[in-house]
Amino acid sequence: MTHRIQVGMLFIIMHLSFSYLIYPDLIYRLTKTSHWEVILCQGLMQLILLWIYYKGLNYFPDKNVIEIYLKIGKWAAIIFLTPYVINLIAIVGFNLRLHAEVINDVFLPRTPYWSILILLFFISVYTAIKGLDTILRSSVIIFFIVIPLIFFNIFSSFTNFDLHSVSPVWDSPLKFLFNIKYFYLMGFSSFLILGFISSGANSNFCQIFAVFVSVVLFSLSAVYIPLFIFGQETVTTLAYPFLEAINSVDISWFIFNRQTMVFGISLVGLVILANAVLLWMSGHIMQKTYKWKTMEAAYWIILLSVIAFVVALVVPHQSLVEKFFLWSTGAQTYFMIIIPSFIFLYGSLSKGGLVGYDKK
Amino acid sequence: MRNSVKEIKTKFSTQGDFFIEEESYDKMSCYLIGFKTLIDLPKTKLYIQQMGESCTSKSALLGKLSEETNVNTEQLIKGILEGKLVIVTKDGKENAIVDPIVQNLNSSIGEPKNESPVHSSTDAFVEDINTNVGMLRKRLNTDRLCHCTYQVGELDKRRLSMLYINGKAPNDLVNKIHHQLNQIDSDIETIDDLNKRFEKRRLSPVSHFSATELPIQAIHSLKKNRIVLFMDNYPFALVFPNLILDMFSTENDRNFPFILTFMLRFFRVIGAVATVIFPALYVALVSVNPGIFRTDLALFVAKSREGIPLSAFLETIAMVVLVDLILEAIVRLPKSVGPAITMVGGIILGQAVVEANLVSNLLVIVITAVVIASSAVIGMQNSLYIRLLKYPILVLASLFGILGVFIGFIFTIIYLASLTSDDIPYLTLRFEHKGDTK
Amino acid sequence: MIKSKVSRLSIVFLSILFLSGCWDIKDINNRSLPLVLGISKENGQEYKLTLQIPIPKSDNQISRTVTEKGKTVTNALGHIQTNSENAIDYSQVQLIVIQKNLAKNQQEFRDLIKFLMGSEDIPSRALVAITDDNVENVLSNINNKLGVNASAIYDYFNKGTAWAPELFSTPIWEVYRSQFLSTKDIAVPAVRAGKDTVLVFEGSTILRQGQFIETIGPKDSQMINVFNNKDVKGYTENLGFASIMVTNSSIQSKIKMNNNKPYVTSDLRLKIHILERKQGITNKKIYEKIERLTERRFYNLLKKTQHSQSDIFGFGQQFQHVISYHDLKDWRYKYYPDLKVDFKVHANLE
Repeated sequence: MTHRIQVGMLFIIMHLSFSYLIYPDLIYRLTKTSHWEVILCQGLMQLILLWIYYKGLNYFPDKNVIEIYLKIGKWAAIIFLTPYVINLIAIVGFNLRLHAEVINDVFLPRTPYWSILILLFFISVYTAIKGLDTILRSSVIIFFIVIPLIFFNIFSSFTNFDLHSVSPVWDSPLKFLFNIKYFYLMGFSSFLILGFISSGANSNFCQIFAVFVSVVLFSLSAVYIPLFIFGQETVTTLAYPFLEAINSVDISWFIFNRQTMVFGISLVGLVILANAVLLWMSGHIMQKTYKWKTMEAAYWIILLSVIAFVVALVVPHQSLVEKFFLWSTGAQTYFMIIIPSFIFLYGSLSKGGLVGYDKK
Repeated sequence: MRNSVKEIKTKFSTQGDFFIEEESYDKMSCYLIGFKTLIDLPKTKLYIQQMGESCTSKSALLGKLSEETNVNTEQLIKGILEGKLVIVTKDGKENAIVDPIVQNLNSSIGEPKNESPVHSSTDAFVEDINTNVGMLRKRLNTDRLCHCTYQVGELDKRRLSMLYINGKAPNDLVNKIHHQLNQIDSDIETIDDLNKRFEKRRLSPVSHFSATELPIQAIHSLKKNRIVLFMDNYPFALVFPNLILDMFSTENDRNFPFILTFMLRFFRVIGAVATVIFPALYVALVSVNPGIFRTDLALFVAKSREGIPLSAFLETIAMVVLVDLILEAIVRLPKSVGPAITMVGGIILGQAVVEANLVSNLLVIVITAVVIASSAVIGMQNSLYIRLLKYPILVLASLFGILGVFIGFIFTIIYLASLTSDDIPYLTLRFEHKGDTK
Repeated sequence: MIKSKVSRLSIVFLSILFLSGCWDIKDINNRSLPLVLGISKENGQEYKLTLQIPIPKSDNQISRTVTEKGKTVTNALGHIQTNSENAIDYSQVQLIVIQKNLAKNQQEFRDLIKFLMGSEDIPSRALVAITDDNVENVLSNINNKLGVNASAIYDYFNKGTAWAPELFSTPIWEVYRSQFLSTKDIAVPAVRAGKDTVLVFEGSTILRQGQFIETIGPKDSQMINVFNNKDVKGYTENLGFASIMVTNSSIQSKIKMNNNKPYVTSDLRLKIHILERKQGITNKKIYEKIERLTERRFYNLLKKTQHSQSDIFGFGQQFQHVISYHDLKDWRYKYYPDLKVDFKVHANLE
């Protein structure tokens, strides 16, 4: 029971970590009027994939994705999971770089971004090495620190709302579905983690659904807060709309002046945990797939994080980082489609999975 | 068999308090052997004499005095070391290890010295392990209270006791600890020696045990499925595993209405967080991120720091170290001198430092708040480790400002989350693994 | 073994960590915290920047002004950084006073606002004000006044609407936003240096997409506040034979399209409190007078703004549902001049 709650909190934290920087921007570029359509559409499609994934995993009780692939054969694990690890590393690298620059802007405008990058990497790697249990436990506490801060941000931004800035009309032709950016957008999720936590799939689908709905609500708030404050035309000219929206809030009774600090703090909490999970996943995959001389997962994590760090460091400027980040989320979309459907197919073909499993 | 007396004599010839007295009663003459420091000899003699009056024969008397009769020399020596009286008949044919009337070496049950419970019974554990276990038994009348004893150590066999409630404490945990305690092969002098026997935690400020002086607290822990260990000659109960909530809640709080209990615990949490964060926050706000202040506050702080030559980090670390020194000095000093140091350290030094314009008066307020806050948590060791945790955050804050404070805080949380004792995480909020009744 | 290696690695990482991150450390008493930033243009050529910096140490003088010129704003800021004794931390800038001559050039003004919005140091919550006066005079005026503190200029705008209903403030981000909005224009408060007080409120300047249209008086500014649903409580009006105070106001608007022309019906309900009146003046007369006065003021302002095609009331915002997104882009030029407003005031005693 407690484990499920922890997984749910981790799930929310991981999704939130994706939804504040590039996500609103991408949506504003996809459509000009009814943004909620895009968000709901994306949520629905992710939910369908999640359902397939869930069904597929249910064929193999108490097994995680790596074990399922290893059951098919080592080749399958290598072919399917190695590219996924590369993708994860890219996401970790670009995600941390992006966040490092934003955190840099918010807290320490004169400090070079790499020092913050080192700091974030250090904490993420440390957390990843400590293992999943530590991540889950700390996610509860970080959840209870970060979520009130986010709510504080959301409610304090109400003071600047101009309800007329947004037109809620239904924009019927779903043109955005065929936009490549929508494909990128689909990658802003990390539900694949559920398959790597052995008890993640054991949870009831209703619970997953409830958690997912709250994630969609948070995404809506991330998109609509800047929209209500600035309006569509202004929002597209800003680099980080959500940040600017929070920055515009001025609460006179609060002793501290800058709401962005509050936002920055919550962002730090989210990004550390999310990237720790991604690093842990990749280290875990590598360790189980390639059993090289009993190389510990910790070594893999350190090795992969060094690669990610170098990748994050060498990209020369920010627009390129954003572009690469979008590419890597696009690749993630690909894995989000491939892995669940493959497991689902394999599970249903091996006669409900259990039979095949028993024979082995 | 006479040579056994000789053997004992040569063995203990270097001991000043060793005695062999020849004594003759109407039915027998014998040697009484033992340590003067452990045995109240006159009273014991009287006791043997009284016993002898009602007995008819030698062996009947010895049998009445003790159940361990006619044992070999090694056991006799062991008995002497344990503070027993050994009686050997003059012909050396019969012997007995008698429980004598002992010199009272233990302090009587008194008030707790390290904790000061409000609204609670005020007896505390004592040195004697049997008294301690007895205190628990008296309060917990159930046959499910299990008591296992161990004698461990190389040089000195130290007595350890493990208590748990059958059916509450998880069985695998009990077995594991049983195993771990049996494996101990070196001397256990301190809690840290015992700590090392459990899961490895190098350089960790958090112990596997939470020590308590109060029987109520120990019983509460037992009822909450935990295991209590006692060490002989150590007037504390060691509760295993140590959980973070021990820092914030004691059973005593529950003597108040719920809302007051909640308030007390809430304040303790605030105290712990404030201790860890406040000095760092001061450095971060003053030297790295003053932009976060409201204008009036920023101008006020700037004014209060005007003309101070030290950098914010230096003045803070200096003051924090100084205050920790004062706290330590007060503990070391005899009780009669302690208040004087408090006066000199706290009031005069604080005043002088501000008046000399070495340290901003805002910092003095912050430091005072921290000292008070750090004492709000329960247990001296918890208070100490909370005080330790503030240093890394302070260093991070001086480099990265608010970001450093928060990252330091998260790092601390992750570190604490990574701690486990026998697979029970330190951050478990409720210890609910129920064992089955065997 | 493994653990020790990990800890060794972490020690290496930690030392790298401590080597990094030393750029933002500067104690607050070694920073200058300017509160007001004045921007003007000299001879239509160079930017002139003026900073009002409070002095915490001295008791005689509360603040000083620093002036520097440069080809661009960044240039001038750089000059100030170089020449100042302390590090200048712009994070406390609360007000930006812009001289009107600079604001007349639309492109320059847009660039300036864009710079202020994008700047990491200057908070985008800082308020904007326009002045006709010499910017330096406005900023240094604070030193000649007795009993004011360094943050007086900022305090001036933060009295709260209940205390000074006519005054209003506009932060940078609103000015920035108005440059992109096609359905709403904004007003920026206009001030000048006062004789007895630090500042004098002169009314407001209407901005249309970064272009100055005209200046309107405080009473007209009040109309705009009413339409933006801002609290106008405490606003007083002298009617000649009586004077009243508004205690509550609420506005309700209905919109519709007539032959592709926008049409708005607005009802303003004023709750008033009569402060004084000449003898024999009935409540009804006062109601009529205040209603007529307010309506006339509104229609005058509407005519003026329709002429200059600047939708200061934000009527266009309400047509978001009726007119399509793309058509609305031309609201100012295509629809707004044809807008018909049926404005009715209903005054009532509290």
